[in-house]
Amino acid sequence: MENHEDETLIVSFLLGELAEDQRTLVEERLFTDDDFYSQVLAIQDDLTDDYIQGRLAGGRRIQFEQRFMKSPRRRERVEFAGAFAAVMPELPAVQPEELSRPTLMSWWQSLLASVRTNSPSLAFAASAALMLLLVGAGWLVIENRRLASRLDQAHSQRDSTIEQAGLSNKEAERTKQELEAEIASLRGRGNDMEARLQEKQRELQEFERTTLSSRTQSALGEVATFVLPPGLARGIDEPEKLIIPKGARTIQLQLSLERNEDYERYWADIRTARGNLVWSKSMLTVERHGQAQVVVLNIPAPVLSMGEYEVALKGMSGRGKLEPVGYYYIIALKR
Amino acid sequence: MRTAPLLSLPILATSSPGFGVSLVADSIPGKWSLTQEGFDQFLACLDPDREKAGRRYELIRSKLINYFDWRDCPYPEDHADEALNRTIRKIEEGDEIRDPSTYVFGVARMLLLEIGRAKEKERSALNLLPATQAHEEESDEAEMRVDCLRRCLERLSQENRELIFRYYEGDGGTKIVNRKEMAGRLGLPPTALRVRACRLREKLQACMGECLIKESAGKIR
Repeated sequence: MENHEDETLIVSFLLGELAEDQRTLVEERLFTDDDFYSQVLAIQDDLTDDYIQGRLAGGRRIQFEQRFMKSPRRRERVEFAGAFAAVMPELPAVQPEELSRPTLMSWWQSLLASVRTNSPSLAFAASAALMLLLVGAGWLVIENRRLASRLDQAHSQRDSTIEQAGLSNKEAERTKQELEAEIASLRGRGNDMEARLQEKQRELQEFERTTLSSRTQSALGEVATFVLPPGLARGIDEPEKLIIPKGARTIQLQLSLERNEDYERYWADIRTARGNLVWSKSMLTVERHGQAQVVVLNIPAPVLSMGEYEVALKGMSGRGKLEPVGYYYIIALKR
Repeated sequence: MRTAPLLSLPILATSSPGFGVSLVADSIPGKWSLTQEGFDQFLACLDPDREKAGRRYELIRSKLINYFDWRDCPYPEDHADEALNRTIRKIEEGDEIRDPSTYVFGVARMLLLEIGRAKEKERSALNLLPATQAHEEESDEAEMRVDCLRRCLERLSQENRELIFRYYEGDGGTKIVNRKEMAGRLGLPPTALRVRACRLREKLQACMGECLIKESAGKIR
């Protein structure tokens, strides 16, 4: 749709990153090229929405706050974008075919995807770790096969010994016991190998999770993360107190689900104690943290003032209908 | 704000505090004021069709306001009007303007230099620091904004409401795909769809602003 070079130039212009001569050229073009002017306005709106939705990376976010939000007119734009994001979920029911479906990936595809990162050092570390794990897993598979083959040999040796040697019952019994002990020992080692394999797989999952989480943090700047347990009943249970550190730019709420859900997409609304909507986000997906299912919300810190809020999580069924999944009650406190 | 089409003289706002007033006084010695004749001459420069000229005038004014805003000038609307006044004055004095957009940009650049100097003077005189204080807002304000916006959205036609939601829905790649699909469905070039969505957004923002003023006035009463 838009020329990518122009788009990059316009974002730099809006964030005050251009040198004076470049800036003057852009300004001159604004006056002589109406299409370019409308493109600048459109990118300004998208940039503001990206800020509100927590989609601006660390440096850009800081630049936006220090440079773009300097003017009262532009602050009004940001305030409008905040209100607009809050009413977005009230849009007419979305047809399921209009939604982009998530692509199902096999474990190895997701593993490969996890090492595709923008950071070269992170990519190198992830690739090296992946290689080690693959080599380790390969060795475990070979060792397992070797043990299984020895187990089969021991079984057949036991049977033929009993049948062919014509040994006395006592001797046969002793030999049988010896062979069974060896089988048990080999089984034990096999189980051990299996356990080690599972342990390695767990390590691999943990590695994938931490790589992803560190990437999120670098993209969002200073993030204050809170894990919210499910099933808190309003008025009965004490709401979770979130003490938001002063420098936090993004608040990450990890909403743990009470049971496994299989909705394609999730929506979250944040309302004040009086029921007024202050923020919402659509098209959220579920993440697996070990055995638990978690929906992660990244909220710009200024959205939550001090006070009590209700976070309502809804799942979107295949027919595009929203169904309640869970409610979480919080008290935001600022340090 | 002035609205197109402009068939009569707009009311000029040059009463802002600070450099707005001093600039007008400094730069225009004697008594010069905008006349219907001067304004008509300027419109004729923009387009022979008066309706089109009115729309062109509004676009130039919007560009000027944003130009001064992106340059962090304190009163973008007043500065925009001042730049237009100076241009019209030049026309009245007999200057021939071949390309009004380029001419206005030149005037705006000169004015920007004056604003910069005035700002500097004021800052050193008052020993002011740049005001970049973070705006900590109450959740009540945010709620009021959402309520107002909801009311403004209700006033839009179903078609426009759908358009604005769909246009700004999603993020990154999803947004681009959505917009391409929308433009195809509506049979509009992407640029035309962009302009339409931006205008609707502007309209909603203005409506929300008016509603907030009314709400705040109601609270004070």
